[in-house]
Amino acid sequence: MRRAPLPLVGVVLLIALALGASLLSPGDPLAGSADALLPPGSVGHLLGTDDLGRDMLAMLIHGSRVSLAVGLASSGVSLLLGVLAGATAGWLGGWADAVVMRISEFFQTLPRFVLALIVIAIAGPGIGKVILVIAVLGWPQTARVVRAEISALRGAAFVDAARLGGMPAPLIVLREVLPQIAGPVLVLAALDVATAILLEAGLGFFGLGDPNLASWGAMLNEAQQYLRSAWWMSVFPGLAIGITVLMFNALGDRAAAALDPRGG
Amino acid sequence: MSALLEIDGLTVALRDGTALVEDVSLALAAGETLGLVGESGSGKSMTAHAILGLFPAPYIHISAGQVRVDGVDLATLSPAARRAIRGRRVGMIFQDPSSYLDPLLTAGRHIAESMRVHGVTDRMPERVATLLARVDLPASAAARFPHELSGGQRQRVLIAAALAMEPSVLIADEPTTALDVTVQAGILDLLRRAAAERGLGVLLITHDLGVVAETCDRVAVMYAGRIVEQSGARSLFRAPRHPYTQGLLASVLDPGRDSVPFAMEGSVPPAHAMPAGCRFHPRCPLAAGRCFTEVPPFSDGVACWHVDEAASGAWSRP
Amino acid sequence: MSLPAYILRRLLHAIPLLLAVAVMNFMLIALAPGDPLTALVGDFPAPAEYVAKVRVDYGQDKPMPVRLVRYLGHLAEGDFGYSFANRMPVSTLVWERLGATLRLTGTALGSAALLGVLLGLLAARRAGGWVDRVVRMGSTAAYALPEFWVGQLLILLFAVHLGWLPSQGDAPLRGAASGWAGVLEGARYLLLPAFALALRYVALIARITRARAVEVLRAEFVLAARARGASETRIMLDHVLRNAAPAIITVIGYNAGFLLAGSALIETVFGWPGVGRLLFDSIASRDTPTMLAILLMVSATVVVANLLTDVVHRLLDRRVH
Repeated sequence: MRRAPLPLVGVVLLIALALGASLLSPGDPLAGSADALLPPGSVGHLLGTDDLGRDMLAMLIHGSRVSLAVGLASSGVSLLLGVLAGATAGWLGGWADAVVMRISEFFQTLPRFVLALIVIAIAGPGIGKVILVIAVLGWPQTARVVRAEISALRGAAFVDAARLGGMPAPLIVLREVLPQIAGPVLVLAALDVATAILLEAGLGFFGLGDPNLASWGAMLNEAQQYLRSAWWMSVFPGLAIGITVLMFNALGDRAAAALDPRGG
Repeated sequence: MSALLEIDGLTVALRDGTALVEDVSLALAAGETLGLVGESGSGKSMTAHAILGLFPAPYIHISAGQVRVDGVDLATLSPAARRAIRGRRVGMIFQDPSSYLDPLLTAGRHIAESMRVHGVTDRMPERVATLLARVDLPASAAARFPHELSGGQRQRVLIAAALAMEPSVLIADEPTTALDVTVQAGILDLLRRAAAERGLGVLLITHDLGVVAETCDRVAVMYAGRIVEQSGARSLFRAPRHPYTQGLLASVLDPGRDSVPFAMEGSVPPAHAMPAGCRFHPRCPLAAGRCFTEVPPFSDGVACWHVDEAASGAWSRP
Repeated sequence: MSLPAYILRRLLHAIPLLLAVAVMNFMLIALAPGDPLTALVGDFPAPAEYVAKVRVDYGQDKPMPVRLVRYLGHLAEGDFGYSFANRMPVSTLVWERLGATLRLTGTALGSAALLGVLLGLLAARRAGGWVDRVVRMGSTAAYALPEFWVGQLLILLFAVHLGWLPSQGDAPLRGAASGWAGVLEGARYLLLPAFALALRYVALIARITRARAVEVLRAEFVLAARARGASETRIMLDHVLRNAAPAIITVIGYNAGFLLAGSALIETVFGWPGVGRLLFDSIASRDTPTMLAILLMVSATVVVANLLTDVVHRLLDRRVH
């Protein structure tokens, strides 16, 4: 693993793209024009326009914001929930452990996409709600990993030392134990980002995206009606989703391989 | 005595050329049990694997020498023809019977597999029951999964599977090492019987000299990938000639009534850091002169520059 | 533990999960913004007398626990409400669409399992070789693509550009050919959506199969089988596949929800007349009773799929206790 990790470079570039969207974009992604359904390579519209004459490139660049915001924020929130629940269960053991594990088992049974779809359909669209729903459905896996690692470390010598030193339990977990298990948890978080981006795209495709934001999933929803006349409306947003998800998956896989003691 | 199995100048190496086994020659006749002895790391197991052309990792290969079964050089055979020899002419059993049995297959399926892969498919339950009886297991054992059997029973199942096609050679790689002492005797007895009753040639690989004394007609002693001494079992135990053999025997046979049991210092050097000259010289009390620079040739049953001095005992005992 | 005892225990385990799913459904209704009656009836002009009847039936004037018990009672009777958007009981509506969804998901799952296992074994046969690299790169890429976009690409290529296959719907019932011609006609409509739905599953199954197979191929019992003269093909089928099967089955079974979600998206892309398309339509027409019934059905399917997975896993590996 001496090479510069390509997935990491890709993810950094994507984040830069999302942050600098207003500067990099050739125009307002939501401004329509009379030039509807222009093919790629048209003057002033490198990747063409959609059915409302909106610039595809501008929409794609701005769409990265929604995908990354949902991906990163929901994975961050679910990471927080998962670590909290897993640490509680693993550290306390006993009934607290049993309760947390039963709840996480229940959440793992829930069909994430269908449930997210219906919750958003009932509650109404909004990027904050999407983030929250995806995060709430995503924490159990992190919780399980954290719990297993923490209950294994609970009896370790350095933990005993800290306890004898009078350090309060939450502080021991935070300062001594969590840094030890950061690796596998971050791997999960990277994979979670990828899953969340796919879920968000699916919601957008079902027409449940925020109507005031350009998003890749919503673009594919629009494209569905114009498959026979405007292939570019489908091809570019799909590629954008695929590449983004691939980057985060690869990042997680790479990190997992680097952490593998067998030297994978 | 015609040789069933002949190994001639066999060298087994890693991809980078590091030799694990070097210039090993052995011959095995019908009905004979040949012991291949040495400490762990001496290359004895690698030699056993080389006979069937099966190595535990893909980066190990035969780089020189021949293995002949019934006079046929295995290297000249097609992969399919080589496969036809495995199990049918040469059977093999292994050290830890629990990891060499598929945990999801019954004992009967293992034994049946030996026959199926060589085209025998009829009267299977009957054949399996007969084979189980030969290794002193009841027919009902056929339906047992490995985790439902004891260590000794598992080894018996592996022996039954190895003998199913009536091979003429059986390679037994540390067959009793992983078993309880009480179980070992039964397994060794089984091997002895097979050799005596069916003219099976057995190549018994072990580090346990007690096992050799009980079972073998002849013994070859390996050290650091080479054979250092080879002779009849009786004469080897009575008058070992190589300093290494003497050390090995002393560490077992020295009764050590009041004294500390004898132990050779040091251990087998790793394959990538072999000393020049005689490989045993760093540990040998007689090492001098050529020992440091020239590999002693194997002649008259021993490979030592100082075989005459060693005759009176290389190690001065306390 | 004996097998029947194990199945019984897993069944007892599944019941509270199913109950919890039903309670969650109820809470979605209770938490919906606006009048919960809208959630029960759907956002569709319904006759006043029906609304009044629902209000009494579901105890909307009563406290929460009573409403919950009433709701669960209705579910237990198989009453999922009435869809005014479709003018029929929700249970009938879902039932009618179930066949098409089962045909699509069954075809996708079956072919994905076959193809995924085959690719995984081929890759594992020479780990690090070119087949392995192609399979690994291909499955990593395929796993990252949203299935509904793959569906759109297939339509663009095979329906729009080449004109070989239909892009929308199922084979028409009226004037349908009979016998093999009919099967063939059905397959023409099924091919693209099934492939789009199967792709991510193929990637997933190929990956787990390869990983397990590489591990099993290193096992000592495989060396022992080679020493008995077994060919590599035989070893793959008798030992590797058998030992990899529990892991493969687990991945397949535990991703049942993922398959159904994919089906909802794919049915929408291809206008396939199944439950997924119904879900899309019910969201578009704010037909809450239908949405919730589908959620309940999908959740129950996941619970049952997990249960079956555990039982099959145990049948395949007798050592599990």
